[in-house]
Amino acid sequence: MEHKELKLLPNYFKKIGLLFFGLAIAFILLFTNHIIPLDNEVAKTITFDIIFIGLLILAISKEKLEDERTTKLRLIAFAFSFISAVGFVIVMPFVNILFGDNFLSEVSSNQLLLTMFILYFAAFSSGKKYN
Amino acid sequence: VQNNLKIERALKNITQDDLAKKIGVSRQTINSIEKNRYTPSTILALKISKIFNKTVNEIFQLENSD
Repeated sequence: MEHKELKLLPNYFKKIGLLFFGLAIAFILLFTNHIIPLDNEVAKTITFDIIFIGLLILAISKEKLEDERTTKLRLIAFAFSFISAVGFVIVMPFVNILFGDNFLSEVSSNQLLLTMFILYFAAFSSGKKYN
Repeated sequence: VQNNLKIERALKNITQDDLAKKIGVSRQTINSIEKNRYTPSTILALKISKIFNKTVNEIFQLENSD
């Protein structure tokens, strides 16, 4: 019988994901040395896009030995990062008050995505180590 | 679910690594099953029982809390 499985990229994609970080650093160097003339905001968006593509590839690439336990830990980590991100968006305005910032300042999509990726990688690696 | 995988493995003199390679999972997965931190799928339980020439029930048993 056919089972629905989590579709992931092959393990060698992890190296491709890491290459994107090199690409982001190269882009920053080219931009700061005025080799690529761009608006600051455009450059920031492009840098974050490159980093997020790299992080996404790393997140959805298989482990060297991907088995049912790692798939389960991966799904738990995905759920954990999603639920925590919702909590992060709810709590952040109150944290802003504590640090004297504006209560109404919104969480940026970059902040949110970075938080989700960090929580996902932390939950997945600790799951692999302790479960 | 409790199991006597560690005992069965010792009786057959198979290491965690050997067993893991035979059924295509990581050694950590075998370790987690033995420590009752992970309950294997039916397919994996069947593969394990086949290695030891036993039924699934002889290796894995339900606990009162299940």
